[in-house]
Amino acid sequence: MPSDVKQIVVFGANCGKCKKAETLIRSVINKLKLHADITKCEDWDVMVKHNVTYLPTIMIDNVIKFKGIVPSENELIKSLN
Amino acid sequence: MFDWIQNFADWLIYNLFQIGADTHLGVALNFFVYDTIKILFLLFVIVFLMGIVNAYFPIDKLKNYLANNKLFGLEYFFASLFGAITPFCSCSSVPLFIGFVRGGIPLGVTFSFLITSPLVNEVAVAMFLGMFGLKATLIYAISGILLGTIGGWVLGKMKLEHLLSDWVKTLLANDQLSANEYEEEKLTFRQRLPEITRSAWEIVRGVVLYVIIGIAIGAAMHGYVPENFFAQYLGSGAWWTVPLAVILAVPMYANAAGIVPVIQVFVAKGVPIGTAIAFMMATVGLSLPEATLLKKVMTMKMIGIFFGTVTLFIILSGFLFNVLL
Repeated sequence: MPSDVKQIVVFGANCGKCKKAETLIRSVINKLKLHADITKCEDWDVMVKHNVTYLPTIMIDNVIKFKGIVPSENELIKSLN
Repeated sequence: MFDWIQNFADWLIYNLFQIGADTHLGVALNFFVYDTIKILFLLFVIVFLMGIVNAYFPIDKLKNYLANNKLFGLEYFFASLFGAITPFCSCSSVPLFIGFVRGGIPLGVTFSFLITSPLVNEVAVAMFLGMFGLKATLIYAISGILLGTIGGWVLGKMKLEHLLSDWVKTLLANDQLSANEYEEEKLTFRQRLPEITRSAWEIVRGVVLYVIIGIAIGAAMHGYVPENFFAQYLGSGAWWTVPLAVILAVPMYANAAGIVPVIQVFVAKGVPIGTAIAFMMATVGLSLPEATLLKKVMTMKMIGIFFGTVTLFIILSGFLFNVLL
């Protein structure tokens, strides 16, 4: 089902890198004026379901895009297209 | 190898700032500039190299390998070695732990990974290399990996499975491995290279302040703490200094980048290097924030046994280093 609303999930805990990843995504989405549902997921059960092993993990439209790293702005923009 | 840094520091302090090479201030500033640049340079190189190694050895492959092969005890060593290679933020210890245990990897092997991962990390290795030289760094890294190997094996023999948290037990009981119900993007090495460079740069940027503060405190202590001060009170072989240093260090949560330059002064002023290495291991290897996170997957009793065993092994290695070095 194609949709122009991006579903973005940031799996993370309460650490600096995870917060940075969420902030970055929000600012890039704002900058590009995209429609997106951004969720920060701190629920271990949901992470287990998605086999998340490294934090932060960034999932865009059900595809794991970044594992254990905070991407650069350019990388993030590329992965959104 | 670092002549160019020394030349730059000489030029900066003695020529550009016109502070005499025969003054205390000139020597101290020169030392500070030289040490800071050398450490940051080494940090970048080592983090970058580790990034490349890490890109070639993805953790998932290791996990499958360890779960599917009989390795006659070598699995503890491999898990420990990979713990040393893969950097991860301590907040990942819960999901990694779950991933290992769910993947069918024995608890002891998982512990080997968990012990070494924070203990031997790229920042600690680079700092050690810059401040203590190659020999001490090799001893630190090799003994850290061995400590993870033996520690994991011992913890495995204790059969602690019943001390996992109820959450993990329920999870394992209801587990239908739902692997790969999602897609994952695979990147080639060439695509990863800019990311590796950038993340090496990020890590260096993230610790630069700690390095500078650490070296500044170190430099100040060099001047004010009398020669052999620690040797008098702590150093000269009193057996209880190693356990004391380790037990003081466990609750401390310090960045390796800030702590190594301070430790170096301790050593210069007479603390035996073995005691210093043990202190360092306890500071970076075990921390209260990690224990808090692990509460999700382990009962308090299990965390206690885990920390207690590792603490004991660090103390033993401290004694051993003091004998050997």
